Amino acid sequence: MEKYGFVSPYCLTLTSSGLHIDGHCGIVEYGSELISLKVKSKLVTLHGIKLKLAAMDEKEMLISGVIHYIELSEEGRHIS
Amino acid sequence: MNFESYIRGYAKAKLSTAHPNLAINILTQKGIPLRNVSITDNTVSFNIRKSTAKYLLAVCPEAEIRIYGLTTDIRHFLHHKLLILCILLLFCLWFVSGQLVWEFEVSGNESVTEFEILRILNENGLKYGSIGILVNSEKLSNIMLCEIPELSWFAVNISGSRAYISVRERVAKPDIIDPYAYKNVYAEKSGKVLSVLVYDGTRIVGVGDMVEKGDLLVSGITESYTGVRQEHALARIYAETAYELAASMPISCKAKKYTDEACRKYSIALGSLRLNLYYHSSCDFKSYDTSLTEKQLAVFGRELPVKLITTTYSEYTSENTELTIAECESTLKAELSDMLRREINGDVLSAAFETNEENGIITVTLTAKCRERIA
Repeated sequence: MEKYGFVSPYCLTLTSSGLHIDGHCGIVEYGSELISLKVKSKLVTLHGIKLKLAAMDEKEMLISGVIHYIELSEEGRHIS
Repeated sequence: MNFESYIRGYAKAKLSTAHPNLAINILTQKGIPLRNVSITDNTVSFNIRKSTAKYLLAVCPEAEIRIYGLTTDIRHFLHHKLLILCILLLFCLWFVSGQLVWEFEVSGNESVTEFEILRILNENGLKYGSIGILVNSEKLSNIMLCEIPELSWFAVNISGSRAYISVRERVAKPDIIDPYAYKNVYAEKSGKVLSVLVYDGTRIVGVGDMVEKGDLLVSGITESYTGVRQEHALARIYAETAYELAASMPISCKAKKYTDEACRKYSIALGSLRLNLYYHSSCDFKSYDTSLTEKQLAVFGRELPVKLITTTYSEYTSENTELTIAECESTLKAELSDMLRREINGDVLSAAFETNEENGIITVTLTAKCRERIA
């Protein structure tokens, strides 16, 4: 299990089932090659193929599929 | 959907909306966890727990919901009463058929045929379809030993649907010789006497004598100091016998050559009934061999009273085949050796083969000298 703390204190965890996101604030855009979601004031965009929302509740989210890269931006400003 | 979801039950929901992303966010914010979310055009499909299905309907009355899972499947299944009845009936049949005898296995018999044993068993209650637990082995044993005097021991063991019948045959009593009855010993075959061992009686021939079949070898009339007396002559006499056996076969003959064509027909044997799964028992082939294979059907190791019989018709053509002289010779030699072995009651001292060919016919002649008991 690998943890990326760049949206600390909220985190993205890579599990065998897919990418686990804790503390999300909802989906902004949904597609099989791009999923965009809000994590507090930040916008996390996942790029890949066959992306799918495997499970979701008010706090957590599990995204399955092949993730090529993750884009992070804040109020329209690109961070990484 | 995993096994846990199937046991617990789950619902597949479909929702048509202009803003699918928003709908997902609202539903999760309302405390409805979603699984396997997919969006196509303006329709959102997802799975939810069965317990949250009612809440989803309350929140979103236009959602289409279908419930799945073990309890739902059981409920659906229970609606098909006929199906349940059939399954129960089949189960009962399977259970009952396991208690009945459908197969017989006879062992230990040599002179008494299996057919004879089974026929008498059939007359005395153990037949195809008898109830296994009601078979009284001791009673049957007593009956069978009386009915078939050749048997010295009899036992039936029922295991599942199979009856194992074990028998032992009585050892035949040796012939009782009346030592006072007058009897001579005559030659059974012609030959040159090699050894003479006389137990009772007067020796007529000696070693090296030539005897013909039917000649007197040992006389039952014995002279002693008390006078002439008659007795049962007994002797063991060996002689050198000669044999000349011949066998012929044509060099060119018709031989079977199987084509790859085969035709299979199936039938089902249900107890003593046979149901053919075909109309015509013959095949379109001009020449064919027929072979039968039987397969006893079983469910979970329990044999059913049903056999699948496969009849295979293998087509062949008759072709003129030219055999070599060596092939003919070896076939005839083997045949002649067999014939000689069946003929004699002793050992072969020497054997010689002679081969002749005339008008396409091979003739092999076996000349043999043997040592055998002639009296």
